[in-house]
Amino acid sequence: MKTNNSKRILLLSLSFFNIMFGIFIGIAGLSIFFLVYDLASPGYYYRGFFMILSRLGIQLTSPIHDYYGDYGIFASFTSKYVTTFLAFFYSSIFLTAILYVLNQIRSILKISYSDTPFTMKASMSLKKIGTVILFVPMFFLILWFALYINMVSKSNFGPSFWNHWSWAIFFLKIALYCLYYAILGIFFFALGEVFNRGHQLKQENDLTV
Amino acid sequence: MKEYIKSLFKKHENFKGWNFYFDKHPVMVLFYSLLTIAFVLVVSFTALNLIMVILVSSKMIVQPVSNNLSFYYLGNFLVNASANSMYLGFLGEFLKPAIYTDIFGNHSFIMSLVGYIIRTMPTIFFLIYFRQILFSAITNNPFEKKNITRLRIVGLIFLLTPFIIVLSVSIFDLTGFSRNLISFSNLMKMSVSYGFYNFYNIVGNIHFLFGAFILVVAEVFKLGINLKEENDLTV
Repeated sequence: MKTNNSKRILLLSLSFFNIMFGIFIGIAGLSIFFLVYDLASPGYYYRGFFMILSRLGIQLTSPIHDYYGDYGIFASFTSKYVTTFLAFFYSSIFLTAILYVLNQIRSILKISYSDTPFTMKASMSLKKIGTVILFVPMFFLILWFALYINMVSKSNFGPSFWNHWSWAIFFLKIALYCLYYAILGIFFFALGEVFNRGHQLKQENDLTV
Repeated sequence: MKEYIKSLFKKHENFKGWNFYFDKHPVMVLFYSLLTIAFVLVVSFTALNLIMVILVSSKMIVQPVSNNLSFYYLGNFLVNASANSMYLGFLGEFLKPAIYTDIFGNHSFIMSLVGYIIRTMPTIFFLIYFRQILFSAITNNPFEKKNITRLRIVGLIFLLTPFIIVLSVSIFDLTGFSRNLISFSNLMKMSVSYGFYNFYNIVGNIHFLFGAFILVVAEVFKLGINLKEENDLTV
């Protein structure tokens, strides 16, 4: 960057981001360790992994507690090993997605620290972040759909009504709760497009000069 | 005030009609229309919730849910077990109006209204400013000075809303019993029980990262403006 002030801001934000990134990787590693620990010891309940995480104040942003366990949805038709595998699979997908997004942001910050921030790489990374965020609701949609089917099939849990209104409410809820991810995804996608425009401008400028 | 509100929704002077821009950037125009739908949805739901807050706080209808925080969700069946496990950020606040209750169980109309408005304002402002940025990116040139301030505001919204929301919940939306015990530790407990707006939550901290990142992008926009000016001068 040209001015000293913005250089300082960028350097500060980069270091702040690096610290947060490190903390996140540490916690992700810890959670995977707990999961493996639970898998290895048959006396322990594999749900304890999530209990320990919640005691630490870390909430995974997926409704995994609702789906796994003795009364969870998958317990009714799958074995413990399969449910454990599914828990591992889903949580690893989620953690990988977050790590991927953080890594992309880090690479963009590094590019913006250089003299030419408007590159195709930055634009593509921003668009990738947007796409990943746009795909997050799909993850929840599958789990919620499974939960809904489970709630309807069990008469003693969840809604006792089985009519068209319950479906309407279900889809309204999905639409409302996916708004955050849709808007955030579009935001990053739009920023990517703006960087692309900046790249084109830079090329034009270089050609004319 | 009226002029300011009008200026927020004003189209560009050289606007050539949506068909022209759709041929140029179809995806962006599609996103813009999606964003408009989302904006209308959020505003209409907020208005609906405001009506519900008025009705419940004036005891015209009975509050169906009564726990420590006495949250009233519009259509409680919409928000069940799995809903709180999804991270919604500040954009989910418009779904959660809360009724202020004192020690004797009396609802306060003004307190609950102010609390709800404070918590939904960041969402509405974020949507307005983002719409403007997207509009300028589609129809005109995104590298204008106004966009820097817009992006800075959006970045600050991302950085500050968790604090604003936790504070507003602790001041306006607590029951009288808990409100008498305002302290730092109580505030932290409050923020933990409030779901994803807690400072221990690592995923909630992505909010701060996004905020910092958007502020950096605003700085990068300055370079874009310089480039644009150079380009205009040479052409």
